[in-house]
Amino acid sequence: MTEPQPHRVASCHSDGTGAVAPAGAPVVALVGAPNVGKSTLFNALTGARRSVGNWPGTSVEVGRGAWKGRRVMDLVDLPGAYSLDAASPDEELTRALLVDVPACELPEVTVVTVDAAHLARSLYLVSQLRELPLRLVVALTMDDVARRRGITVDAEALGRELAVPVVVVDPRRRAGLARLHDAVLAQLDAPVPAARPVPAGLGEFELADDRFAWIESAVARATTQTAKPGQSWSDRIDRVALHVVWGPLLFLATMWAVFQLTTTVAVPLQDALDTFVAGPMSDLTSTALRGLGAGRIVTGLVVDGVIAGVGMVLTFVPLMAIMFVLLALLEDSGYLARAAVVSDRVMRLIGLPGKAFLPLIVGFGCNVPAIAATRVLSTRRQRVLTALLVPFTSCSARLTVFVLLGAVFFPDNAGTVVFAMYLVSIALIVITGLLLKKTLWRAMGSEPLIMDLPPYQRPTLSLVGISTWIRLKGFLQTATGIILATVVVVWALQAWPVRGEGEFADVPVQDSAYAALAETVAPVFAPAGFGSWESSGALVTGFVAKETIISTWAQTYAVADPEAGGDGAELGAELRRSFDESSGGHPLPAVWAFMVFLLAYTPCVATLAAQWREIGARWTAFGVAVQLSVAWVLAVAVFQVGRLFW
Amino acid sequence: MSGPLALVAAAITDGAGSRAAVAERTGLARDVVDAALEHLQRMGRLTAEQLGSGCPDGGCGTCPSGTADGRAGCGAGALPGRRGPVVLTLATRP
Repeated sequence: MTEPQPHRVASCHSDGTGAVAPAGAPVVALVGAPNVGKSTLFNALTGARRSVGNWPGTSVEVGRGAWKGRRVMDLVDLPGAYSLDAASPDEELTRALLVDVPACELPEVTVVTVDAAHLARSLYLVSQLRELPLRLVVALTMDDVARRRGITVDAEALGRELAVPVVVVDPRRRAGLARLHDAVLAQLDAPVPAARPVPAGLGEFELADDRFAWIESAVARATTQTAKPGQSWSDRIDRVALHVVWGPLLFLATMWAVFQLTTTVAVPLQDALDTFVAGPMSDLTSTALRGLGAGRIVTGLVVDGVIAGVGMVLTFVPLMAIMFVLLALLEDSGYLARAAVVSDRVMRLIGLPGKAFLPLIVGFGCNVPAIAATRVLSTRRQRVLTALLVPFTSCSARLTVFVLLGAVFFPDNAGTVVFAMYLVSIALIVITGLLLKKTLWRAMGSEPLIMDLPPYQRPTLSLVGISTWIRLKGFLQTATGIILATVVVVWALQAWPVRGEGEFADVPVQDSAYAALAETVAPVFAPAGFGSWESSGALVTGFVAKETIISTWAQTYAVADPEAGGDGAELGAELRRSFDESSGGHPLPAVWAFMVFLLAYTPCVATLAAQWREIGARWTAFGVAVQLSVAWVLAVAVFQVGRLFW
Repeated sequence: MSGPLALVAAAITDGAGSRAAVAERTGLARDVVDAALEHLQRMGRLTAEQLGSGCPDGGCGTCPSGTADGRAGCGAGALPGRRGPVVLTLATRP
């Protein structure tokens, strides 16, 4: 078994392990934080005259080389270390070689590499070394980088403040190396300086704070900022994007533009697809199936079920694609991170946990991962509250219904209608959050935190493309998975006669099991103006996934009048008729009430499963009760107030 | 008198939500604020989290919307190169 070797750089008894310099050469340790140019300096000082290997007894790599000049020195490149606090094996070895060894085994001189562009960051190690009986020399690197940033470091003044010789070096251009050599030689002949005194009895934090006070004083006296800091493009844009007043307004304006652009560009494409699916595609499929000898049931299932239902949902692919592209552009540019900060301010303002903005922002895409994202919150109370609020965020599935209703009932302002629903969503989150906090979570505090933002950048085509495709694929998977299954169930219920003279797959939809079941629910929604069996049935299937509301409507009206083909215009006319009848001649307040109900009630079974998993059955059930109650009360209020004016 | 570390920690506790806000409240140079924040992280007083994805720590396999073979079943998960904010949370100690 190999005996572990003691850590030592220079020793009265040293065997000079790994040394390249001649025996007896003074040992100089080179230390510094990672990424300050230490290794570049070591290479410049030693050239090819060096060896690199693990320090004996450790797995930490250490370089050692001969530093030639007026006198040859044994230069030891110690691992990068921010401090002597030994938070990593690298720092542990550095500490062992500079602190935990007898005085006679210390290096004769220690050269500390300090980054002029990040002076305060580099000086913590210097502050700790100054508390030890060591001969020090500071090699100041990155001076050119600092100057480009408008920072001028006065090396002489810094030397006075630190009580250590400071030499500006540029190892890449081999500038200042001779002066550094001379400074080290001068230190070799000088007595070991007195250590910087630190007050006795300080705790860990107070001691670190004392060092930072020393650092701050040195930085303040040795540096001048020749250009105003914080003038990058990112900072300039952030002055508006993160402004207390302009920030939220810019965010709202951006989202309005996204919805406006999405609906303006996508609705004509969607109409064209809709006409194709409901017209030629359905006709050709019917003809083909009849030609193949398929019976009424198969033809009905495929044409009135799958094509009418899933096909209608798939007509939203262009809309979702445009929306996802725009969101990906905002995300990749770095703007969405700013939106998060703006949201965070609102969270703090109303006393919600600061980090709760993240799951809520995610929820605007899809509620399911948003529920999972509540795990970033540190206490169970915060996680439960946020998981209860997530379902009020208007996910992209609801967007499809909002766009359909916006285009049918408000054709000139569909984008603004969708945007208004997002505002309602935000208001719902804030008000419900406040109500829950005032009642159930009075003692919940917020965490002190700050947020670092990525700089703005030009969005990259590949990332935007990948991001859009992944999201679109999720939409397609839902459409061809759970929606297809729902479509089949709805078709079966609509084909099943429970009254009248019809037989299976040949029954007026109003005489079907589907209509009969929907009629039992419909009276609940009568005070909200959408108490028709068509709307109520769609809302029930909407429990599965919100896109199924569209597929169910499309199936209902296709089955109701198969000859009409159920194209987009026909569906719009049927929806207008249905809302007009159920609202007693006030269709617009009824549509707003329907959209508010749609926004507030349970998003989908996948979200329920996620809630169940994250916060348990009891809170999930409580959440469903709250969502249904809030949705119904708001919908009734919107309709009853709206019908007075509209 | 409080030093820079204590000033920075106090500024975060008092609601400074960004590095710029901390610098403004404390009167410290931005470089000193950056160094102090970094040191608070090393001391364990601040914890850093990369945000911008709603995905659980265990990946798609632990997400309710993940597929049986461990792939993302939703549109929001596992996006490469996401550029979210980093949250630095100050640990509250007795």
